[in-house]
Amino acid sequence: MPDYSRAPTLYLPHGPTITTLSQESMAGRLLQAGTFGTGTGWPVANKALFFPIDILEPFLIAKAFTVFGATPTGNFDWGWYDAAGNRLASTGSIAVTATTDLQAAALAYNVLPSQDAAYLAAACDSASTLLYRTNSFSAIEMAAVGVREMASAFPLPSTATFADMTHAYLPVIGISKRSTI
Amino acid sequence: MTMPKRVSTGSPACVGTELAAAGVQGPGSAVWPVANRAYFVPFRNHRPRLTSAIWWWNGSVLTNNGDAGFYDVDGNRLFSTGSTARSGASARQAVSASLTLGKGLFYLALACVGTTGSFQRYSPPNIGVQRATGCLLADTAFVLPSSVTFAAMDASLYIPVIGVDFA
Repeated sequence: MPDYSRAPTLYLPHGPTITTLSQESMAGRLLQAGTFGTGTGWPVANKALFFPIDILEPFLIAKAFTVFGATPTGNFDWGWYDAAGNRLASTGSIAVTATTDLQAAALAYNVLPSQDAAYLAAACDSASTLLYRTNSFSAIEMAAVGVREMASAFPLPSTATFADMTHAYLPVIGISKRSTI
Repeated sequence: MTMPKRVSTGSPACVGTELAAAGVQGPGSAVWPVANRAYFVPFRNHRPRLTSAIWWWNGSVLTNNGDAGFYDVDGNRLFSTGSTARSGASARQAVSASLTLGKGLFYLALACVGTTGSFQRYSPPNIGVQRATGCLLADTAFVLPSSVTFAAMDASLYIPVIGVDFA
């Protein structure tokens, strides 16, 4: 394993949360700020999205979360996958109740940096579920930096078949070391 | 390799990346939302370093004392300035703080005794984004207590500009 303590300008310890807005995920891949809003539903009912997360030190996940928009509806499932598409942990179906706020669910998993690559997964069974998201990035941009998707994947399957992202849709989804977020 | 001598809320080592990615605008002056409240901004330290000062950025109105400090992830206070009269409208106000912070995750803390004074703060677009940054708060926390029970951020949409200078 590389000795990251010798690369101080490139490596910072993880914060209490890692989200799709973090350097460890999309902010380290798409060098521009998005314009966010809450008015768009999940791209397709029962579709799962997989966001790459770089883990450089052990990260004990306590919860996964999403920032939702107004009018909560539908069910959500958060999960953690390896590079081969194996589900390592998931919350199972959780009713969406948050209104323009963050909703979290327990997702206990200890991510080790020896894992080759990792994906934070989210699936939703309703296209009417509104998320706080940006469409500032094209589907091409998102697929080109490793965002994946899978149709008919609610609840999150034990094995995912990854396909390139086909939506200009970046929600705020994350994991937390703390139970209090 | 060199590292920044100054780190604050808007730095990548704090929550600057997340704020920028979410399109949050630069800080502005706003009154402290709740009397005796403390806000905690996560700060990632890449290696043991000696601090020289902790600071906040005042807003346009200087009423109400402030108290700034460092906490560990378990909510233990490592250092605090104590109740400090504010000076320098719309200016950075620093207090000497000599402390070695190890490698890892810490919190920069800022508390204020009242709600008439203003500070420079980032204002996320909604409570969900504010919580997603990992910032936390505690009420009835002036002066900054020796240990604190962190609570989730609320609808105040207020992440103060707090910083640390290294020796």
